[in-house]
Amino acid sequence: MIDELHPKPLDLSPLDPRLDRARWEGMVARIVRRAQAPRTPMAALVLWRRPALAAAALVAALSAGVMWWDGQSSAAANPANTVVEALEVPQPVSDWIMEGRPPHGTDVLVALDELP
Amino acid sequence: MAEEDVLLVERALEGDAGAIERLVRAHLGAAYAVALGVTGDPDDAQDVVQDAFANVLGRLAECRNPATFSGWLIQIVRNTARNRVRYRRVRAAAPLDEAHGARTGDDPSKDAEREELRRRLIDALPELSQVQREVLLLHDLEGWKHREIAESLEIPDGTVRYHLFQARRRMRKILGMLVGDD
Repeated sequence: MIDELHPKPLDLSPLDPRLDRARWEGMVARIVRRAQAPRTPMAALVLWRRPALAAAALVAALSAGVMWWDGQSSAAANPANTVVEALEVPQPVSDWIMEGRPPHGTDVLVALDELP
Repeated sequence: MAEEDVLLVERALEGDAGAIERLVRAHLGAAYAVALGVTGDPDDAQDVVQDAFANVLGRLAECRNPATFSGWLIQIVRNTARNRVRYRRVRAAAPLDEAHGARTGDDPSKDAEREELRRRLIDALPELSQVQREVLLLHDLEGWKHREIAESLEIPDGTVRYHLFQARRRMRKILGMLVGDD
């Protein structure tokens, strides 16, 4: 009855990865090496096993880098001290923003009159 | 094991390479068994355990309770293996025999009879359900107790016994008298 309910274990030893000593030790070594490797963003990408995702991530990382570089270059060429300057808000409007008040009708007329 | 894990995790967090290696050696067999149970493919299982260990060891500081390291690792192995299976289905990878055959040619010391049995076991594994494979491999290959498997799979002890019984019976039916009747 016990044998019927609990048949003897199967000999699954051929599936034991430890049998191939070199392969087993290689697996241990690779895991330990990866665990000790410094985690730079590029190293993390290299470790990814899905080429398409890794490639997409690489493109995204490069794009972000280019955008950052471009932004830095633009900033250096045309430095803006404030958000208003950076967004090139027209002078009268920026004054209203800085003063924190809504424009009166006369302000609008004056601003229109000052337009080139 | 849990007490030793606590010590090893603490030392690994301090950068002790020896502790990392001992942690890996202590859990690699079970991790491989689970990965093989989910993927049914030795090569995929090998990749899965390496990815899962890299993930776990890279986030070791997040392991709030080192005594549960084993359960945490096995869960990540299982998830990594499931993702691998999904990815493989999408990719429609080469058949198992091709991938496996290419690898075995590198081992000059292999025993032909053992290799044949290994191939038959691997071919038979997909005939079991995933949970049956995990239970069978953890119990009959790694020597886990029913209770340990039940905790890992979050199923009742009796269910583990049932799956083990069904898995052994099914495997014997597929393999005939090749295994376990010596």
